[in-house]
Amino acid sequence: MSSAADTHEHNPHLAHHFETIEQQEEAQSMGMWLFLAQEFMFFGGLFCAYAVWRFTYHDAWFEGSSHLSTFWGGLNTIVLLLSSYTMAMGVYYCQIGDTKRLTNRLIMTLGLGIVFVAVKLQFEWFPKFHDGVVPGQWWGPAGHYADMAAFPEQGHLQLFYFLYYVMTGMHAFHMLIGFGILIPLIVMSAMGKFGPQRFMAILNFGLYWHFVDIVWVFLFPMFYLVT
Amino acid sequence: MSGHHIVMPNTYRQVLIVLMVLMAATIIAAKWEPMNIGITGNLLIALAIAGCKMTCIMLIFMHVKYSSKLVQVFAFCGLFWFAIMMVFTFNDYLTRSWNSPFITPAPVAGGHAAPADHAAPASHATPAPADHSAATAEAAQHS
Repeated sequence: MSSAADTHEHNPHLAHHFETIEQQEEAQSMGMWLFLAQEFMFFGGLFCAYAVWRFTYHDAWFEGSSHLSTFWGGLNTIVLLLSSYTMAMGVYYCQIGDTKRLTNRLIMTLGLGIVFVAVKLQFEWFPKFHDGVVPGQWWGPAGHYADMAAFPEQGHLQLFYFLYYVMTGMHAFHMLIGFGILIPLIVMSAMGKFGPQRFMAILNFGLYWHFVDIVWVFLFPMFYLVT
Repeated sequence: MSGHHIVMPNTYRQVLIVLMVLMAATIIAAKWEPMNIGITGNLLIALAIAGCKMTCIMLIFMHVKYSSKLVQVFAFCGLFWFAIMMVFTFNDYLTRSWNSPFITPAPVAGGHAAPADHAAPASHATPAPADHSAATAEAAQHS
């Protein structure tokens, strides 16, 4: 537009529609937070349904929760909190320009995320599928879950497990999306694309990852620790 | 360098330790019998601990503490809308006579309304003094 733009040194990281790098970074943060607010409302509907049904059918919630493993749930909580920590450290190493450690931290985050999903499927979902803890026409707790069949209100119990699968499933799905973003980020980081001048992608992905962590922080006591 | 705040590794480590301690606390609060203070109290403790963890993660890991006021407002708006949804929903559910812990059905001649029992859905505990209430309780039970 003006000839001044052609003559002075232009910051290659600053897009032309922003005045300053600070303004650009704030816009990027704000957009990410707007997306997370939308995500919050998406999960919020499920949390609200959970609250209403727990309030109405507390006995079923107590019965259903007593068959979820605090050990595996707790282990997964530790794994996810650790992955949030490695992600936060990744942001730090990106900001100080240590791209080697950044790549390492991103790989650690991905690894911990994969452990989380693997534990969830292998030790929580698959055994339940096998023993008939599937809401709907295949419902019929047997084997390890046989004493659940004695609960008088099977429909209410199915509601509990319906929400359990939907909420932890949507959470796990968000983690899978996270993997899909993390892998390109790891490749780009290994290629040296990030650094003190270019870290917003890492920071914003970190926001997403921490958000997923926060959802689990609530899901854990809500499903595994109903007393 | 850009103007973005750099949080030191030590701060992240401290937050991680706090998060782990709170995670242990939430399990102890739920599973250790002396900490059992009834279903409402247990739920409130669990949610309070989860809320503390969320606050730690948002403020430090997600840099909300170091962000501009505008970003802080955006970070808060999700919580705010969620609060609206919960308040309006429970404004309805908590004031329905057949499953409210606060409202007992009006006494009817020939029967008396029992106070709603916190430990069980009120539909089980409420006697059905009149045809209308019986139908409502039935509906609540089977819906």
